[in-house]
Amino acid sequence: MYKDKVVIVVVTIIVFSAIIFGSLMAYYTYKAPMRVDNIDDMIYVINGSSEDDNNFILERYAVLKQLSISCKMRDDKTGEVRKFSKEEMNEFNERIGGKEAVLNYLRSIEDKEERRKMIQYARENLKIITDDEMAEFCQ
Amino acid sequence: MRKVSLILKRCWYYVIGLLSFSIIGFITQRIIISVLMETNINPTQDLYNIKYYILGFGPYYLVVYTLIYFAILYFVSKYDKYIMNKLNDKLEQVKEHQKEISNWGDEDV
Repeated sequence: MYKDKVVIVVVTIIVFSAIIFGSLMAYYTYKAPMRVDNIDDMIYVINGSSEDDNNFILERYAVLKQLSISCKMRDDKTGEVRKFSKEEMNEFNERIGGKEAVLNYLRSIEDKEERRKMIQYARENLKIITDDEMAEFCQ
Repeated sequence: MRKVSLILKRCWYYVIGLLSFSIIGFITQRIIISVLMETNINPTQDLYNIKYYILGFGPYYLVVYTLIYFAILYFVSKYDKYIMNKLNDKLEQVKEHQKEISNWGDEDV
């Protein structure tokens, strides 16, 4: 009787602590700095070239969205971690043109097949548009 | 001999507990991550990457489980002592009660 009680309590403690620890690990993994090969190169990619604002806009916005989770970048080679302030993040967002620029870009694609592919790519691979926005495109 | 078997038993419990703790923790972690990142869980891909997951997260799981295990061992041994003391007290009471009963029997005779 006494042994059974102890076993039940120990198993419960192990299961609950595993669930709690798993949740904490998930949170810290989610909030971990974005790992890049070179921080300056990645900032250059996010900012894009001034010649064509729509160049790789979907990918740039996806990178910015991922960066906005932690607002930190970690250089894999040197181990340097750089934190970005709210102003810097807003600046990146303005350079891209925000979500509206992404949606405008998708709307501007004239070839229907190409547009469908890009919308699918943005939704399924990059996850930068929501189901509602996708439904709006499908109408 | 008895000590060796006790140590082996504890090692076995440690390994079983570590495996259960890691599996439950990792499944929880994977589910929460996929919900937060809006990605699908792909067990085949996860099994393929298991080596990297073990190398990346294994040490954290090992350290945390070891701390929990030793904390459990400490509290269980404390509880064991508490129960033993309680049983000993009860045994003493029973002995005293039996003595009293036998004394009454002697007086009657």
